[in-house]
Amino acid sequence: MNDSLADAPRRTNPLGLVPAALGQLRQAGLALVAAAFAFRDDLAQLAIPVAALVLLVATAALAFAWLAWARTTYCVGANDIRVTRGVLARDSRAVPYDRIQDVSLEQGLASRLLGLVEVRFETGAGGKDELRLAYLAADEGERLRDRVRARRLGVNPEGAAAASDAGETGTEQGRLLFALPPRRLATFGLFEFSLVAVAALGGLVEQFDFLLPFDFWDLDEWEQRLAGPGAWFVALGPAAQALGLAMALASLALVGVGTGLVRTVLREWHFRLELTPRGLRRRRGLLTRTDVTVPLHRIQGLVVATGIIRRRFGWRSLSLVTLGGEDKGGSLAVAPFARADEVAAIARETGFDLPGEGASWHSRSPAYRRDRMVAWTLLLGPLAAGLLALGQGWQALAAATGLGIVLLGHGLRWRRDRHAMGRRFFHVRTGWLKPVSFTGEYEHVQTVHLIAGPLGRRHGYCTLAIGVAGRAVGIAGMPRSEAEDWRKALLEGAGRRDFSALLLR
Amino acid sequence: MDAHDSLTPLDPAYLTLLRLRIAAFGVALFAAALVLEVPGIAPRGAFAVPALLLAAVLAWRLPARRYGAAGYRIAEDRLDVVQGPWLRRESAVPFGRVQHIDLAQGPLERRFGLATLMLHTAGVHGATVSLPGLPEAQAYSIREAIRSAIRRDTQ
Repeated sequence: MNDSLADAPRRTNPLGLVPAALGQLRQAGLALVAAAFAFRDDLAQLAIPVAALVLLVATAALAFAWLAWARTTYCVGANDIRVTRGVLARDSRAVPYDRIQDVSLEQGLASRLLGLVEVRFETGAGGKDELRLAYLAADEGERLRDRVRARRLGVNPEGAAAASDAGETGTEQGRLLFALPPRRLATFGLFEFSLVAVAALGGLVEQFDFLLPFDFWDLDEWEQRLAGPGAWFVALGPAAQALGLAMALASLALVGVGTGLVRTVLREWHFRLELTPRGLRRRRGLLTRTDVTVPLHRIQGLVVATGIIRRRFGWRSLSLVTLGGEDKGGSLAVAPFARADEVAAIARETGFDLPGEGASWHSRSPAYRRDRMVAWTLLLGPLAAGLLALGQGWQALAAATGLGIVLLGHGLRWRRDRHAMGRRFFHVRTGWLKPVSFTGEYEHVQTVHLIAGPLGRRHGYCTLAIGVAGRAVGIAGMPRSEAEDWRKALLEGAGRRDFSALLLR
Repeated sequence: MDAHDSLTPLDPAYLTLLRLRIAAFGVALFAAALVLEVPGIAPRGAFAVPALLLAAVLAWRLPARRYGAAGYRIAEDRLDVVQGPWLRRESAVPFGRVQHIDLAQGPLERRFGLATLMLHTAGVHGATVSLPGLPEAQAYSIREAIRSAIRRDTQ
C-alpha cells in the first residue's frame, strides 16, 4: 500500500491544475468585472476585444498553473519530506519528520468535486511559512499523512507503540466528543445574526445613493420631507407609519439573520470533534472542508465564550488556545455551540479544569471602575454639552447616549469581570456583551507584566498582562497586592519545568 | 520588584545616549521652525525660540526621568525588567521560557559601548522583553548566564 509513495521525486496530481487555474482566474475575474463596470456604457462595441481578453487571461492562468505544476516535485524520504518548486528560481525545502507537529488536509469546492486535497504540514512556523502541497488525490493525501505520522512517531521512542497502531488502521477513527446535528446548526445560525451584513446594506445604500432621489443620511432633510411632500406619510397616521418602520426593520433583520445562517452552515457543516490517539481531531465545512488535529500537550489554554443573548438560552462555545495556531489568533473552536455539560465533558479530555463551584472569584479594584467612569464622563460630557450649545441636537444626543451606554456597561461589567486562582489553573473572565472566560495553566505562562499608570499608582491598582503562547490575557484594574500575589504564583508555576519539556510530553 | 532599591540601574552612558536622541529630535524641530521663518511665512523667532527651549527642556528632563525609572534584576531563574516613568511596566521572564536571545547594537549604542538585550518567548502579547542600556560586556555575560541556565534546564 505504501509502495505508491516511493522515495523518488513525485509530481502532484495533474487534476490539481483545475483548482489552481480557477484560483488564478478568480483574481483576474474580479479585475475584469471592475473593468466591465468602468466601461459599461461602451460594452456593446467592446464585446469582441473583451471576449479575446477573457480567453487570453484564461489561457495564461492555465499556462501558469501548468508551469508551476510541472516544476513542483515532492519526495518522501527516510527522515524528511522534501518539496522542490519554482519556475525560474528553484526553491527546495526539506522538513524533518520530528519537526512536523501534524499534517492537515484541506479541500475547497473545486478540489472536493475532483477528489483532491491540499496537504499542509504544521511545523509551528505558522501561516504562510508552513509547507503546503497542492493538490494530491484524497486517498494519497491520507496515505501521506498516515505515513508522516508513523515515521514521526517511529523517531520518537515513546510513541513507537502508537506508531504501529496508526500505521495499521490507516485513517484512524476516534471517539466522537461533539457534533453539530442540522437542527442545532440552524439554531446556531439564528444566533449568528450578522450586524456586519446590515451595516454593509447600509453602506450599499450610501454607495448607490445617487439612485435615491434624496440624501438617505441627512436627518434634517428627512424632517423636511416629512413636513413637506412627505406629509402624506404623516397624514396616514401613526399606525401606518409604525407599520412602515416595522417592515423596514424586518427586512434589515432578515438580511442579518439570513447572512448569519448561510455563513454558519457553510463553516460548521458536519462538525465533528473526535478524540484520537494523536489528540483532538476536528472536521467541519460544507464547501471548504478542513481536518485539523491538535495533540493534547500542545493546548495552552481553554476559552469559553458566549453572547449576551445566547447566554440566556444556555449556549456557549469552547475553543482551544494552541501553539502556532491553525485558526486566527491561535485558537481552534472545538465546540462552537454547546451546552455547559458538553463543554465540561470536552474540557475534561483536555486535562484542563474549568472553574468549578468552589472557585474563589475576585473582582477588580473599585477605584479602577471609578477612575474609568470619571475619565469617560470628562471626555464625552463636555462634547455633548458643546454640541448642544452649537445647536447640534442630534449629535449631542448621540454623544450623551454613548456616555450612558459606556457608564451602564461599566456598572454591569462590574460583577462579571473577575478572576480566580486554582491549584494548577487560573481563570480570567471579561466582557459584558460577549463574556469570555479563559482558563490557563501556571506551567504554560511565558511572561508576566505588571503595568501601572500614574492614576493606578496613586489609587493602588494595575494591569496584569499574562503572556501565553497563542493568546494575550490581561486583567485591568487589579488591586496591586493581589497582582503581586498572582505574579508570584504564575512565575513559580512557570519555573517548574522548561517549556521544551512540556512540548515533549 | 517589591522594593525598587534592589534593582540594578542601567549604564550612565545610556542617559547621555537618550539625551542625544532627544537632542536630534530637537534639532529637527528647530530646522522645521527655521524653514517656516526664513522665507517669512511666520514671524522671526515665533517658532524657533520656543522650539529651541522645548528641545532643551525635553533633552534634560525626559531622559533623566526615563533613566531613573528603569532598572533590571537577575534572579535565580528569571529576569525582571522595569521601565517607564509614566506608564510603569514591570516585566518578568522565566529563563525556562526563553526561545532565543538577541543582542542588538545600533550605531549610537556601539559608540557608547552599549547593547540591548532581547529575550524572545513563545507568547503572543509582550512576548519579547527588551532591556536597553547595558554595558556591552555585561550584556554578553548576561546572555551567557541565561543560555547556561536554559541548557541546565533542558538536560
